[in-house]
Amino acid sequence: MTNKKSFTILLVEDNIDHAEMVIRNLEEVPLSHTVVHLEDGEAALDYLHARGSFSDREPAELPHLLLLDLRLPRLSGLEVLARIKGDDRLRALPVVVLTTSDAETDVAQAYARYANSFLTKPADFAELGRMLKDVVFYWLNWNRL
Amino acid sequence: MDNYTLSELIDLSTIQKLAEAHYQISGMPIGIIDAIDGSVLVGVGWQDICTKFHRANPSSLKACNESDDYIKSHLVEGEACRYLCKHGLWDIGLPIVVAKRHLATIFLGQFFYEGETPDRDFFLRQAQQYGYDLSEYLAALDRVPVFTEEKVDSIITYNKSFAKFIAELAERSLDDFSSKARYQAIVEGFDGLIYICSKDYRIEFMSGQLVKRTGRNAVGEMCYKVLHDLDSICPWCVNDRVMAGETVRWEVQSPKDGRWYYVVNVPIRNADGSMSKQAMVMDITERKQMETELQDKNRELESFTYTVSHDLKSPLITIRGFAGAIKKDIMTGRNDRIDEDLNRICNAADKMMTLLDNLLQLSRIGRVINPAELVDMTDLAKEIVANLSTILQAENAQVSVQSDLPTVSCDRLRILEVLQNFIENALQYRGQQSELQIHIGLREEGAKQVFFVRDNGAGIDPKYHQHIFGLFNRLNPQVPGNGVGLSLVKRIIEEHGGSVWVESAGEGTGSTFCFSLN
Repeated sequence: MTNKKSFTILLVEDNIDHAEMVIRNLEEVPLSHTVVHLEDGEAALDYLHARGSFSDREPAELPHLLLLDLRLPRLSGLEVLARIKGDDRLRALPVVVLTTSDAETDVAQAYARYANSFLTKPADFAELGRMLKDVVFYWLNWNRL
Repeated sequence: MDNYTLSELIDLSTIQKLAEAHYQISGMPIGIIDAIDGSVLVGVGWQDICTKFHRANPSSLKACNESDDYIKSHLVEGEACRYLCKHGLWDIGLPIVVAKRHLATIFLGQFFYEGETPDRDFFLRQAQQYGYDLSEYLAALDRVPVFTEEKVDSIITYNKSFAKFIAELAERSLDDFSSKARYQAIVEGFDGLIYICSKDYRIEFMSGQLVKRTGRNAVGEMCYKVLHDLDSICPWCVNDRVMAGETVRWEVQSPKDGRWYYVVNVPIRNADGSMSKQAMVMDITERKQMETELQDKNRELESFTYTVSHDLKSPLITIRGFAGAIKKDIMTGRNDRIDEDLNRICNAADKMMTLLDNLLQLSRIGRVINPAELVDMTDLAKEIVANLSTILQAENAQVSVQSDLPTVSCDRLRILEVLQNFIENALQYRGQQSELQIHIGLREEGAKQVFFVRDNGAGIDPKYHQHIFGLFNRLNPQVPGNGVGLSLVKRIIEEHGGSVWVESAGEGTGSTFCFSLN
C-alpha cells in the first residue's frame, strides 16, 4: 500500500447537490486524497491541459482518477471522454463515468470512447458511499497504473 | 362513341376496290349505302336504267325510295332480301350489322333472272308515264344484266360473307377505338407524368400532364434534357435494364427542380421488335418531407424522453441521497449540517415541480393553440416591459422598444412568452455587465421581417448557438434556470411557422435573439 502518497480525484459534476454527496462520501474513504470539483466539461479540459483559469497549474500533474458525469453544460461528458482518450498525454488517466443515467446508449457510447468504467449513481446515500469506496480503492490502491 | 358511321370505322377505298373486282368477275352491280343518312359509300356497275331514268326523275324516284324502304324494313342480319322493284327490276339487300347496329346495306342489282322475259309493254308504259327518251330507255333496259338463279345464289353467298367481313373489320376498329379511349383516360387521369422514350433516349410519347409541365410537346427530343435539364445521359438512368426487359421501380431527386419522384419503368416491345421504355413518374416530395419530419420528430421524442428521464431522476437522487445523509448525521450526532441538507431536499423537490410544470407547458404548445389575432408588437413589447418593471428596476436594466413595430397575426400569449423569455435570459446572462441595455426591434431581411431582442450582456460563444435551444441544455450551472425556456421559445416560434436563432460574436459581446414569424 502506498498510504503515504496523496491522490487527486477530479470530479466533474454540474449538479452541486450530487457533487456534495460524492465529496462527503469520498471523505469517508480511508485513503489520503484531494477532490477537485469542476462543474462543466470545458473547465475539466482546461484543468487537464493547465490552461484558461488553470494556466498556473503544472500540466504534468494529472489527477489520478476522473469521476465524470455525462450531462454537463458547455461540453458533454462524452465529448470530454473522447478528447481525453484521444490525447496521448491524457489517455492513461482512468475515467470512471458516474451518472444518473442507466440508458444503454450512454453505456455503449461511453465504452466506445474508452471509458474505464461506467457507474450509475445509486439513490441510496449509504450505497453510494460503498460504491465510491470500492471505486477509489480499486483504482487508487489495487490497480497498477 | 355510339353514333359512329361505317365510314368512320373502316377505310372504304379498299372496300370500293374489292367491290370493283367483284363486279368485274360477276357482272353484278353492287352498292353499299349508309343506313343512317342514305349516302353512297361504295358503288360500281350501277345501271343506267336506274341512275339515268328511274332515279333521275323525281316522280319515278318516289317508287325507287319506296322499294328502298321495303328492303330496309325487311332486312335480317345474315340474310339476303330479294325484291322485285316497283320499276320491274330485281334488287337484293344484305345488311351490314356492326355491334348490333345496322350501319349500311349492300345492294346487289338491278338485274333480271335468266328465262324471265321482261315485260316490254310494262317498260314502254313507264317510259311514257315518266316522259323518258324511249329509244335510250329501251337501250338501257337491254343492258340490264341477266343471271341464272344459281349464279345469283352464289353471288349472295359470297356477299353474305362480304357483309360479315366488313362488319367484323368495323367491330375490330370499334374495339381499337374503345381501348384507345380507355388508354387515353388512364394516361390523362393519372396525376403523375408519363412518357415513353426509345433506346437512344428520344422521347416517343408524353402525357398531357408532362406536356403541360414541360411547356411544350417535346416528342423527338432527348429525355435527359427535357426531363432533368441535363446535357448527357442521367447518371441514374436505368435504360439498359429496362431495354433488357426488366421493370424497374426507383426514386430520384431531380436536379431540375429539387423535388423527389417515384418512377416505374416498364419495357415496351414494339411491333418492329425494337424496345422502348415507358416511365410513370409520381411526385413524392411531400411524402418524403413527411417521412423526414417523422424521423426528426421521432429523434426529438427519443432525446426528449432521454433528457426528461435524466433530469427528473437527478432531483430524486438528491432527495434520496440527502435523506440518507441526514439519517447518518443524526446517528453520528453531526447535527450542524442537517438544516442545510433539508434545504437541499426542499430545493430539489421544488426544482422537480418547476420542471414538471415546464414540461407540461412544453407539451401543451403543440396542442393548445390560441386563435391567431392581430397583435401590435410595440404594444405587446411595452406590456411586457411594464409587467417586468419591478425586476428590471431592481436589476438596473433598461429596455427600449422600437416605436413602429408592425402588427402581426399570431398567438398573442405565446409571443408574449417568447419576448418575456428573451428579456429574462438577458437578465440572467448579463455577465459582468452592470448597466444592462435591452432593445426590442425589427429589421428587414429581404421579404422577411426579423424581430430581435438585443442585449449588451455576457454574449454566447458561437459554438453554443444551436445547443442553447435544446431541451435542458444550459450554459452555466451557476445561473438559475432549468434549460426549458429556450426550447419553449423554439417550439412556439416553430408552431408559428417561423424560425428562431441567436447572434453573438462570443463572450462579452452581448447577444441578439432573433425570430421571424410566418
